[in-house]
Amino acid sequence: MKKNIETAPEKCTECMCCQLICSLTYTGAFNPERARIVIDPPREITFTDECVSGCTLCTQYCVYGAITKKSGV
Amino acid sequence: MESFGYAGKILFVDLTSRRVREQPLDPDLAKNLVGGLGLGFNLLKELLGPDTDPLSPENPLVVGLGPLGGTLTPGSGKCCLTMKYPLQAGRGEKKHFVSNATGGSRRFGAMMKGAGYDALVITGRSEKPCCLVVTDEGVDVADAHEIWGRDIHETTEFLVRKYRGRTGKPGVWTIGQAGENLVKIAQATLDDRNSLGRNVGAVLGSKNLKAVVTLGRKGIAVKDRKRFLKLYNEKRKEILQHPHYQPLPRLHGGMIQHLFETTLVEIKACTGCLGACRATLEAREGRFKGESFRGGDLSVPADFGRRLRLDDYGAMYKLIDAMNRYGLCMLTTLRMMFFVTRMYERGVLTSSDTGGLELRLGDFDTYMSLIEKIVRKEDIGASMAEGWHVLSDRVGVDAASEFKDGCSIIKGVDTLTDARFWPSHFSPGMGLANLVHSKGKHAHGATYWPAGPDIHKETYQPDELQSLSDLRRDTEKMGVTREEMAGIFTADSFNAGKLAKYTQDAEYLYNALGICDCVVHWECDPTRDVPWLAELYSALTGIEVSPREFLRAGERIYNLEKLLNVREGFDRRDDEIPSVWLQNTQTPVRLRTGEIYLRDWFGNRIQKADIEGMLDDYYEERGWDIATGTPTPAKLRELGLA
Repeated sequence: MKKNIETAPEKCTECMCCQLICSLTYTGAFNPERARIVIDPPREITFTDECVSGCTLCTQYCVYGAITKKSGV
Repeated sequence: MESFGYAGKILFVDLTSRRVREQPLDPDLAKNLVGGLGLGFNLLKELLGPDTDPLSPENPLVVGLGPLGGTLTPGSGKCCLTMKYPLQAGRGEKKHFVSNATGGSRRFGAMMKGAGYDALVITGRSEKPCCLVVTDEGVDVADAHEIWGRDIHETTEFLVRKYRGRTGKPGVWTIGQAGENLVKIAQATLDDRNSLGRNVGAVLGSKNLKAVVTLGRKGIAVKDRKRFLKLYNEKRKEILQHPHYQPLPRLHGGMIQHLFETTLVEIKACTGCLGACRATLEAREGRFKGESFRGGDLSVPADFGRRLRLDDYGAMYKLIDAMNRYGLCMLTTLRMMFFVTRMYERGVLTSSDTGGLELRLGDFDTYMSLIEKIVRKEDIGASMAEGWHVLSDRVGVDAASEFKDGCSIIKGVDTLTDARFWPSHFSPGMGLANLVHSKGKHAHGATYWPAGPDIHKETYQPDELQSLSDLRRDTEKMGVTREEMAGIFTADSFNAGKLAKYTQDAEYLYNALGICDCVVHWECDPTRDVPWLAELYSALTGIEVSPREFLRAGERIYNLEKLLNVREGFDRRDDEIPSVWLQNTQTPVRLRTGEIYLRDWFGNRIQKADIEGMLDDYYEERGWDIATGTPTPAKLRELGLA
């Protein structure tokens, strides 16, 4: 679990915006299967070991409140 | 050569021989026909013979994806299916239309492109039930005995567990028991909740194809990432700041909104979508209290209950759930059940026709039994399973002229709406497109849905029509030139027939690009913006294209589809308005009371001669022969299709 991101997997709609922006940024292509965020709603949303520490880009692209930036972190 | 936006290959699978082959995507073809529908119809032009039986191994199924599919673009989960349909298109006629279905997906489209394919062509018939598994590691025609006979949710859950990816689910497209049993009103379902599409399930069933699974990690390369993201972020901001935007469905109050808000358990979206609409609802009271049901269209439950006089909304959910699970089109099934009930009440049908069922409105158990009879093709259910015209023949009453409640039947398909209820629908394109579309426009996906009185509103408010300047603005946003605009609009009016041509071309372009055209949440969708889409496409693919060239590609695809239907024997005679739409009717429950009739945008009554005039204008603007309603050689040369 990332210290700077709060997850609410029950709100995840599987729209993949998080995975699409993540993969585009870090692999140079739209490639959800190579994203650093793993979605398994409503059970959990997790991050892979490759996930860049401090990055909260995915939270900016979630309109459903499933991943949000923790305040004060 | 690296391919940007496109996956770069077409996959061919013959289920008879289990032979699999690939073909590189022709860059010129991609430019001229964009993707999705365009690729599909072009492949059918090459592969589909004119007299092919729709349920024979020779009928190819083509799933086509667009270049924007699987990108961040809002609604980029759109998948397009093209094929020859099994429904009988006319009474007493054996001809069948060649058409398309489009449906949103969460993972299916993105994972198919991730596996490396822009289009999937399936021919043949597997000896035993099979499941096609398409990944970037290979293509497998897998045994499906574990899922054959199971419903759509069970099958999807099984395949998701079996083929789960590294970061999420695989894509799954499947049929239920109705498709397996070759029920012609069966649908196929994408990612558990989206239709792709109505009346196609039997074709998958005829191939012994239970499901297709996709999973891929190849990714979609972007030519100019900075430009793409700038365009995307600007549009995203425009959407999020739109006064009508909200991430959950906006159902305009009333019973549907109340039901939605008080029974919502979870909601799902398609790829890149900022406005989720695939809900799971739970019955909070009544006979099915505590049961939850997952599906799609939220407006249907209320419609359903009203028609069948079911007071317990949980019972409505339960019936819809049964149709979703069996893989029956809920719209058609609902309307057929209502039709046969009326025939039963009238004594045209008796319990000897229904296998002992006493059909009466408000009886949940009887309707559940009737659904099962359709799936198993028993008694009257066997005729219902064959579609409207076969049912009409069986009953001895023409459903197309008899059915007066909220739709009509065109080319054998029940339309989504009744053109008399909303004048906006007939004039700016939707109603007219019902007539001229290859399968009778039945839902989103074939025409421009104008901003105007919303279908979910409690009261009917003609004064809430979109203004003429709104209509002009939206038309300009389709990429229509100044000269063409001058031909459509005058200072205080417009030509509905001419406008319909451009709305259809734009709609086909959206589908070819692989993006959603379904305006569920907003009365004005900011992504319906061809100049912006042309820029986005150029940033993604490196192929520069003008908005007018882009719209021309939509026109090319529309003509290609028409050519295939001309070969099947369709012409202007098939575009006739259903007689029921020329008669007065009563407004439906809860809408303003009184007689309503077919009107134009301005509220003036229109009759058959007016419709014929609109059709003349439409064919003329298309550059088609007005007498036959078919493309002329000159038009085909102009579009490079000759």
